[in-house]
Amino acid sequence: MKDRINKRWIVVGLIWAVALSIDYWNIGEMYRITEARERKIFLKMDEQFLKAHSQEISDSLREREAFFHSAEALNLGLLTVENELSALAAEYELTGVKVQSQPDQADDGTIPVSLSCEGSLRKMVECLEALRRDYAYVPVTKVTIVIEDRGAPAKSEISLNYRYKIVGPETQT
Amino acid sequence: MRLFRKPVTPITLISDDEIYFIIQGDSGEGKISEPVPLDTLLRGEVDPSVIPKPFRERGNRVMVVPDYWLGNTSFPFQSKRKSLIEAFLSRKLGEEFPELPEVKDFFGHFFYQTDQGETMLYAYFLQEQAFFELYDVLVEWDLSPRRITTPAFLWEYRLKNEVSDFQQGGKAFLHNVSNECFLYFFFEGHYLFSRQIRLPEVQSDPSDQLDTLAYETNQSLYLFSQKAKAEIDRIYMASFGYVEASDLAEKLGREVEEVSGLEEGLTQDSMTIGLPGLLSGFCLPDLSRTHRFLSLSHKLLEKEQQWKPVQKMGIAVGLILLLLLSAEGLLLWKWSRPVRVEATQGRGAGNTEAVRALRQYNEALDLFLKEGQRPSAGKTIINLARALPEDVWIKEMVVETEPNPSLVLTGTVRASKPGQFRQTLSAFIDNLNNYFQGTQSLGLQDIDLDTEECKTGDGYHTCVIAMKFELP
Repeated sequence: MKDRINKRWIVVGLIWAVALSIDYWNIGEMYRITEARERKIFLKMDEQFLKAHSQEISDSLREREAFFHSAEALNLGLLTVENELSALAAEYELTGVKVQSQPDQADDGTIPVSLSCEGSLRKMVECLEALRRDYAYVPVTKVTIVIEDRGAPAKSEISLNYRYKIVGPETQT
Repeated sequence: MRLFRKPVTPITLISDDEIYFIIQGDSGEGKISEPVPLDTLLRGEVDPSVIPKPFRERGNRVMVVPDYWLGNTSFPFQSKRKSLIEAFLSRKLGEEFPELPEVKDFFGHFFYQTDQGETMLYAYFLQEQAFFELYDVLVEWDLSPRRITTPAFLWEYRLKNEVSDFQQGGKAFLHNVSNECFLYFFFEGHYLFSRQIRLPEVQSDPSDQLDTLAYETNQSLYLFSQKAKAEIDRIYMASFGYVEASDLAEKLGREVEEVSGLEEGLTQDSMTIGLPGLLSGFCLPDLSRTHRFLSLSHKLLEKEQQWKPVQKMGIAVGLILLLLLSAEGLLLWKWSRPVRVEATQGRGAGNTEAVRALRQYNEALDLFLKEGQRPSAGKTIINLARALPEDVWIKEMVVETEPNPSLVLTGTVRASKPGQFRQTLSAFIDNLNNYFQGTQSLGLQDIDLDTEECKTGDGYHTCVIAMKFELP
């Protein structure tokens, strides 16, 4: 007798479980349909936006290129940038120039590079400004300047972030 | 016409230590199986095949057991909570019938009001060992009865409809069937006790039967007055035998009312049971309406019956829901197919290119914003140099542009007399606030003046200062 009651409850439970499962699937399907429709609308909007602002976008993408150094290989890129930094420091009459990169600390397309030099504060500031203006792919993250005595030359340690992009030889700019 | 008739309930009747299986015959009348002696059945000497096949197929719906198999009692009870009452009755019956453990599974109860307005609990229960043994056999044969009742309960229901003041006082009902008479006694509308009187065989004169019946009736009336502490106010009679109500009335010296309409009902309805004895006076449909008369069943079966409508409703609603949801699912699946195909096509080369271009554009904008917000280290040094008063010079400065743009500096301040420090440093702070607009307003408290490092020489006091502030 007890078995009969329990069996009937099992049947009720099974029917409701199946019904609720189908309901769950249906709700999921509704979400999937809505999502697919929204995605379609967004894609259309993206296309329209791209068409309307194509010039602006391509200009921005071109400008963006300046923030990355294109190199065929990372070592080559580092060598280039080290030379460029040494040359820049020399241009501003800074002495004791030492450029050091830390490829082991590379993170998401960037490598920390440090530039140590010595010279007048004015030249150092000019060098920093030139870096900011002409070398957007090595943004300055930290500058430490030590002036041991009044009128003494400034010793500086400049931390930079080298942003690079590995490209094929034909695409290098 | 018969096609639309509700199938009649199969009945099991126990009478005179014999068991009968009753089912509706082809022409609508009650079809009774050959009686099976109860004791042979209980000894297991009866094969289940003696039970008519249609009966076995329809299941055992109603079982009518002799009145003496059933006990009853009534008493005042405070609570009306079913669980409490059932627990109480179960315990009480268990104590009263320690030799019958199954008694706890077969009882019923209800509340009624006495003529004095007192609320009483009426409990009825099966108390016969033979019943429990028979029940076990029937369960084994998969013929457990759904409802169990007695002729007294059937008559109680019948008389409630026939007699207007049945609920008040004591009532006696005599059911006379050829050589037998069943005496039923009711108090305040409820069955109290019954007796079965065997009457002498009628040869030519039925007066012997009349004398016996009158004597037994008087005895029973006395018994009733003892049990109920009240007198019988009316005697009713349904005669299917030789004794007439008028003759009995004369013999008893009090009125005996013939219950009218019984015979008419029986002759009009073709579905009579056809068994002379206990159930004469009833037709098959009377016993089909189990909710009308008092009955009981096994507690588990009762529970099953209580839950059955809920379960049936659950199954029905569940199936309807399942059907609707399946249809909805099918519709959604069909509907989503073209949308999915479009979405898959939408992820084609052209759109991927567009998405990539937009992503790059967004990245570019983020980069421009980040670089735009980065403070210029060169300008920071220039501004600091501009802010320096003549008597302050820098020994070390750290310009951090990311992640938290800030300027940390260590320097020296000079003053010809100690009171001049404040003036020089105030000027320095003013200049810093002026050249580094956008940072939090700086104050003298932001300068850390190390008085232990102060030196005096060349007519000047010099002290080391340090400070840190965030760049805009």
